[in-house]
Amino acid sequence: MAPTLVEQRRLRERLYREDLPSGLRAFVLPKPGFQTRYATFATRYGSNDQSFVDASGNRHDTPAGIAHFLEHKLFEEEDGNVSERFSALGAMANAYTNYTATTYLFSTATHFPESLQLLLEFVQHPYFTPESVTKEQGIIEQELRMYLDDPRVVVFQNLMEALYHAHPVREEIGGTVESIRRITADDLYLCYRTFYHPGNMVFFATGDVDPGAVFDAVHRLAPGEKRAPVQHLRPEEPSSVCKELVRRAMPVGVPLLDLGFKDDPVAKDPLRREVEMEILLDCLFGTSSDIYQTLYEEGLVSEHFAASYFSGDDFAASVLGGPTPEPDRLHDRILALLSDQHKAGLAKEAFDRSRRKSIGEFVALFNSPEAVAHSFSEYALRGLDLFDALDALEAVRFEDIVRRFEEHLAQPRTAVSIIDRAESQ
Amino acid sequence: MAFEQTRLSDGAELFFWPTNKFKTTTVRVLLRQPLSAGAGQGALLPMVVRRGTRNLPEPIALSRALDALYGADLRGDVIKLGEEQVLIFHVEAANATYLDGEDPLRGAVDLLGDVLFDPRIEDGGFNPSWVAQEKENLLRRIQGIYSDKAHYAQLRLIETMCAGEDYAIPRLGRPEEIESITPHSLYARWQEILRTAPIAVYIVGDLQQDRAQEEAERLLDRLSRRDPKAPGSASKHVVPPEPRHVTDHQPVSQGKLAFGFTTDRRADAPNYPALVMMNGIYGSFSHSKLFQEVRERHSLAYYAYSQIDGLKGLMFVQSGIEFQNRGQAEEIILGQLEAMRRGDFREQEMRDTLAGIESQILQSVDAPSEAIMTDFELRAAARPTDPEARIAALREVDAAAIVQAAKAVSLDTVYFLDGQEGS
Repeated sequence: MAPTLVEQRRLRERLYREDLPSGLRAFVLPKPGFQTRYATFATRYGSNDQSFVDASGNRHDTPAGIAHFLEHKLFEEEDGNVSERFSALGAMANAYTNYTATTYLFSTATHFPESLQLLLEFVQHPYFTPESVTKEQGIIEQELRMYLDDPRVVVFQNLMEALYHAHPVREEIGGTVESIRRITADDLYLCYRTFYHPGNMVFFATGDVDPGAVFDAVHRLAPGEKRAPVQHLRPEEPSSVCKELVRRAMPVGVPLLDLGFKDDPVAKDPLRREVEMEILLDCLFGTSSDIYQTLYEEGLVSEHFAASYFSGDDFAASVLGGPTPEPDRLHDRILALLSDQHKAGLAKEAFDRSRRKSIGEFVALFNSPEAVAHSFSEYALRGLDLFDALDALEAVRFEDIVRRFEEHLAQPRTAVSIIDRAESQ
Repeated sequence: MAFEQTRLSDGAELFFWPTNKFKTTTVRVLLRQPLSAGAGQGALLPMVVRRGTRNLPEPIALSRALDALYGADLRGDVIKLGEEQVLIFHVEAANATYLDGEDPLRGAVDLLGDVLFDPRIEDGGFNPSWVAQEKENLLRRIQGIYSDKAHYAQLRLIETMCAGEDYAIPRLGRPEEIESITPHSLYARWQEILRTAPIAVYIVGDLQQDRAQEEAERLLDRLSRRDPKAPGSASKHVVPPEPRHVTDHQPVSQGKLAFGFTTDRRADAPNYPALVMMNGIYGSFSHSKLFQEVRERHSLAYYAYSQIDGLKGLMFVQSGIEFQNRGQAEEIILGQLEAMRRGDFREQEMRDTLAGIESQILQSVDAPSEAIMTDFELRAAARPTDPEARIAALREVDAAAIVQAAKAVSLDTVYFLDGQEGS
């Protein structure tokens, strides 16, 4: 079966896609003129997937942080770390784990075919021993401690803990120093076998590459039969927030605040939801909004203030905040100004402006092969198509935004996370 | 790929790269001044002038004008370059090709011109409440560095190591200086910068040379008579007789161990590529000695890397570790440098390092801002800008030259951010 060609006329981009017999979805977006050749190989397995049913129908509950641990360990081969083999090709290999996915990638200006082969091979070749697992615990413990000292990470994670009662998004992606000590080589093999199946994965390549050669390599190096999709288990999550406030003191220079509005995840047309929220949050809190300008004038926020929609298949929330000298007052003022705005209603001009801005920003995204690869791959893992986002932006109506304001932000399901300055400073 | 250089006026140059690989057009104005001329003022200026102009005297109006240009991105910031500060003014707009033929570039360049040359002025100074607010914001940005422990450790290291030298002046200036700034003093300083600073205008995008020239000329046509001053080179670092050790204590989960080293050369020296290769083998890749030994072999850290500042001729190392492992980490980090001096590295390590740097050099032209800053910084360091020439110079470096570079690196200062005493 030959790859299909999808043209995004407006962006003048051509995308080749192919669904392999194994269920792997592979994409190539040629970017002639770029030096960077970039490929990602990602699986729909993140920190949220602690509980699952394996292929034989058995339920498993694994330690927090195991998806991230597995990501680290996959780089290890019988004869050393695969990063060094990428290095020898002038390629930089990396990987990251988030709540819903694990992504392996490399970028190089030279030796693309060899690097591509290496990526496809090492991700499909697990090798875990008790000794290498123990060795990795020390490294990951230092990674976790680095995040424990990063107030931006802590303020966000504490907010998740406040918004959610049971959903695993309330736990840190990397787990805790205690939870990772419980991880064994057998656990890693179990998770690997369950989630690293081509049918659960997406491959994406971009840069000045030849689509035919890339698809040939993928066919050759990622074979396999289709199998039943993995069953991701989630605990029952009430729609209410778990706690309204979490605050902690840390040695920070400036306090931080993150305010969250819990939302009900949407099963149908999640792309439309994302686009609506991007525009709505920009209308309300973007730099051209009355609320942002008022908070700025009052000295409560700086240019680091941001609002974004944080969502996956089974969780969704709007999160806004940043560093502020007075977190409590900022919290009160946001809620008061939002309530005023709700009474006054949204302006159609604000909607037009934000949509225009979103279109320009979407175009600019295609400047960066890396950014396109990551967005495309994350969308594809959820069964969505990044190219559709432009049409979705064009299709959003003012009424949709007004309705979202009403059903999502004019409600009391909010929680706040604050980092205060530690006393001893 | 190369930027085409054209003289615009006294001390003002246009650097233009016509390319259709990006979907935006980027215009960036770079103004150089010595850090010692008032780094706090320099940092504050982009923040104040970005708020509004005579034509658009309210911040919300300027912000909305940019949204109407398909979210054109207009921003200002400063970077530190050796002992200079560079004021950066940047505007980037989507190309008309992708916007049903509407062209936001001209409007975006006009707004940038207004920000630079037609600010909102009251009684001969900048708007007093904006200056007061942005002083607060700047002081808070400086305080905020305390929240980023790796950044803070690096800052404390340099503050100690280069005390009394201009190099120790932080990128955003010092609080004492910032507090004394007035709307008048700041405006006077702005006029002085516009009169004396060398100006580079960079344009990257899918447009013809004459259009780029026209945009750059229109952008600068309000620039008054100029008296540009060429910047000097960085002062020589004063080496202490014995390495210094400094430790701070904070209630943190992880210690940050930072080292400052002197070298015998700067970026304009013919033997500089050997130092670049030395630094690569020692600590700037995942195959490098620091990563392999500190992380992979001894599991002491998640990160351990080295970097060089070619304009000042210094090398730095940092790693995040368990407090009680400080002695062992220090021993390994300095031991690996000793190995470099002995020539204890394989040809494979040299090849991997060269391949890694080659990829970095080639890829630096894949993002408009990075392409601009790479070109600008290479010119500032009087180094060749052509990627192929840079790679060729690195290829010529042999093992003996690397050993020689390592031998000339010597420890100056060790900084440790430790946990709270007694905890």
